[in-house]
Amino acid sequence: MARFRVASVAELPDETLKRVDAGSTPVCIAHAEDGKFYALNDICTHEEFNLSEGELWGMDVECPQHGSRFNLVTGKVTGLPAVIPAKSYPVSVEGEDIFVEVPE
Amino acid sequence: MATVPKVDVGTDYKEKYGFFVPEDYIFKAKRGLNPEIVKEISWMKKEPEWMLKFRLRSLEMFRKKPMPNWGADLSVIDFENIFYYLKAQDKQSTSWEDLPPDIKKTYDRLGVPEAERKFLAGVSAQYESEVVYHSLHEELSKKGVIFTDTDSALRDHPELFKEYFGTVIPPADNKFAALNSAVWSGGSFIYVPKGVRVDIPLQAYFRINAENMGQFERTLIICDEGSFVHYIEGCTAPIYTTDSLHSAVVEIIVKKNARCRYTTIQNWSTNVFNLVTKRALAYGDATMEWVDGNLGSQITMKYPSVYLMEPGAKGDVLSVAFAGKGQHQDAGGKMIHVAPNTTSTITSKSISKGGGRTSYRGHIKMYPGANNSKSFVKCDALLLDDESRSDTYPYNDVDAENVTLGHEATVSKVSDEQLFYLMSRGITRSEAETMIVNGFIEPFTKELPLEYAVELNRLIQLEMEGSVG
Amino acid sequence: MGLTLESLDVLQGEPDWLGERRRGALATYERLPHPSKTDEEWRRTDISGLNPAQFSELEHQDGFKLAGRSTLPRGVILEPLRVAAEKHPDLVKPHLFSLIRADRDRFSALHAAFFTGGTFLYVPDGVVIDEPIVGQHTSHAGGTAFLPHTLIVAGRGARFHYLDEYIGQDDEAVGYRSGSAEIFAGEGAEVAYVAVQKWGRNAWHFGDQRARIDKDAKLRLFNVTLGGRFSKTRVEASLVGQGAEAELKGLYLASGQQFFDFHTLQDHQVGNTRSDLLFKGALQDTARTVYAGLIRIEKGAARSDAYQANRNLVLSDHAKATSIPMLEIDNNDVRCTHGATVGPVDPQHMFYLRSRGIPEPTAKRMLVQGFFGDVLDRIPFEHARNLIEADLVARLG
Repeated sequence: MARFRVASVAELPDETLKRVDAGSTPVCIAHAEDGKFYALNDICTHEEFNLSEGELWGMDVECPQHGSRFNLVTGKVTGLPAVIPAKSYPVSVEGEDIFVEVPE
Repeated sequence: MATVPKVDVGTDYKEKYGFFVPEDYIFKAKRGLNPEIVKEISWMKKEPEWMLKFRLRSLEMFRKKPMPNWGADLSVIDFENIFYYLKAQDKQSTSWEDLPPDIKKTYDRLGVPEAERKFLAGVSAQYESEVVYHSLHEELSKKGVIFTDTDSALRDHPELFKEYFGTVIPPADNKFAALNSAVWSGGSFIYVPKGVRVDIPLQAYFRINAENMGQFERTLIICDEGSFVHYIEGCTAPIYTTDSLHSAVVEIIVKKNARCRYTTIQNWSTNVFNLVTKRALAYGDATMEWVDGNLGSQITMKYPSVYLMEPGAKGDVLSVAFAGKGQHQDAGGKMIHVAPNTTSTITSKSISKGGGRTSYRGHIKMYPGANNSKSFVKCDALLLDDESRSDTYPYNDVDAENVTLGHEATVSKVSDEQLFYLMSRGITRSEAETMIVNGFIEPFTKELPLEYAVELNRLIQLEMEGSVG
Repeated sequence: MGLTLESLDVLQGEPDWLGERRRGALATYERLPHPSKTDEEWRRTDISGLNPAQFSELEHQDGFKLAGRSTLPRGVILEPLRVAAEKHPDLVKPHLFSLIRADRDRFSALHAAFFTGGTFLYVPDGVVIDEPIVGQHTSHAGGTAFLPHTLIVAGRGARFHYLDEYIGQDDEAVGYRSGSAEIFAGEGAEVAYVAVQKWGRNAWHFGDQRARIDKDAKLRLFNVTLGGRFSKTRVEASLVGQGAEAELKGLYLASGQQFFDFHTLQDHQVGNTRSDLLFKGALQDTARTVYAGLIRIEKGAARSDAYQANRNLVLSDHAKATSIPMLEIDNNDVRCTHGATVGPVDPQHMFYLRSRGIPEPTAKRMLVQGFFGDVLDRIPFEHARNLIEADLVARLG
């Protein structure tokens, strides 16, 4: 696993999404309603649109193109048409910095 | 609609289906689409707060989504000129006698009560936006089968409803799913408990009567483990010079070892745009069958799909489309293989006549992990004259190992030899063509209950006579 | 490509009309949007990582040769395209980029603006050339832009064979490659055209092969795609005269992380025309291929006969194959059939070979060769057949 600083806390207001790149991995960072930060692979497993351009819906992120939903914590599909789970990555916050760990 | 196999040449669509009765409605929303109309629909129905939110958010999605840049030309639809909600009477009846005379007469002319007496286990009749009549055999309700309209289900079975509603087709799926999610009304809700087999079909009949009407029913069917149900829908509308819009969403969940068959005989008048999203989930060893007949409408865009979610799931689409003058039938099917050892077939038969256009559009997707799955698609098109057109657009995506996928299509005309042979036996040209067309779609008609097969053959004959629309 | 008018100065020495056209195409390039995933043709074809402007150095060559030693018959013109543009504007000007139009999309525009030489072949009426003509386009450096163009004009009843070979000696650096050909087959002509694409494995490739086939003329076209990290090829034939015939065959072998995209068109504009298409591909590793083909029969094109098939052999768990064979039929007096298959190696065949003591890799190679057998038989001339078979053996290991 490789660890990257991807954003500052200030860049993600409550209940927002942001696209970041952890090395060459496209990541969707979410500041969820529980106050925590989560990271999923940004490429929707259905038709490869960017999840970060979608919307937060409780603890799910919804793809902007066809409405597929993924659980922020596990990456599990919670709404069709996607059927393959999103990859989820560990997130840590140190002071003002958000870090994501992705496989090398 | 089921009658003796009498050949009614000379009866035409206008007489049989294309009539209308005066509007004497208790509520008619203003033309056009806006948050106020959506709120009004929700208020009329006394819905819970979450449904109103769901509707308003869906309306926003509808606004944001572009029109499809493929398929039929939809630019002529004027969304502001449509009535999104029409309520014809105050309450739902369980007896035909209780219906207002005009409405009762309508269904009598369409033959629905007669069909119910003869061979149906339950009937739902939707008139404009609301279901006006409803029945279910008593022994089925005793077994726990639920067959009701979707609005009542939201009221009477809130938990079951919320668990499944919108999970198969999210509002964001496509522009017309979003529209339906915003203004939906009516439709059927079916729950078949574990191990229960509903051996005789349930039927819903959808009728549009008013001009510039938008009908947006929403159907949800849940087949619990090991159950079986056959659901049949029919639809007609009067002939008007301006357009109406029918945009349904149908969600089906077929659990382990269950089987669901969904038969459609779509016979809208040729001023109706028919833009429908239909999708089923099939779990372990379950079977989902779409039997889809598209005869009427000006434009139909409809691709029933099956998501094969667990090993052994099976999906079938059997589709027939007939496009006459001024009609474009853009129909087909989708099979999404998610799990190993899943199988699917799509058989499409299309007929174009008098400048009509049929398009087969399909998608087969094999996701990683759908190993040892098989899919086969066969499309046959028959062009009856040189003004007509046929297209085939099959999308095949294979991302899994050891899968087999095949697609075949042919386009042909009625051969001169066949015609010559039949005509030499004293059969007129038009009768001969009808016989050839009926033979061509036989794989479809033989899957229908007898009464419907007879009706379909008769409809084909009417189309061939050119007396429709 | 330094995408400025100044960079076009390297192409000095061309006639003014050609310079004007290049400037026009560059303006078109700047006007057209970068295709996005919501465009149907690009839905499965990801070019988000491509910025053509980063390839500032153009490689410019004219190379071609005759396969044999004979001299050309009288009247045949075989010249570098820029020389021909100067010497034979009457022949070049009306044809060049009239089939592959600059305004089709950004990449066609780029090709028309920056094409870096190539070949012009004119074969007059009734002339037959026995030896195949070979255009070799060899890129020597990585990181460059290299855009050769072939223009072939066949007179009435002319007969000849032509091979375009795109060779990369630059396996490492990422380059931009665009090799295209326009073919005009005059009445009764018989043209055999073969293109073999074997750029380096990191190249971006965009190619158009487009033919216009007149009355009673016959085109046999064979496309081989082996190279590039990304390759998008369009093979299109318009049948514009009664009795015209097109045989379009393709073979592709995708391995590693290669992505190949093919668009084909069989465009029957008039009746009594025939087209026959077969594209066969084998996929290994994490390779991904997209085939999308269309048969279009126009309203008046009665008694047309069209066939289209795409067959894919998937040899690995992680390869992805997409196949979209399409029909648009506007006339009822036609014969039209198409098909697509995607499948693995037949386990029975594999079992048979393994039971004979043949090791698995060898058995797999034999089965791939067997799979390609019927399409290899359709390579229209021997010189090309030997070359392609050798390339295939080298790649299958």
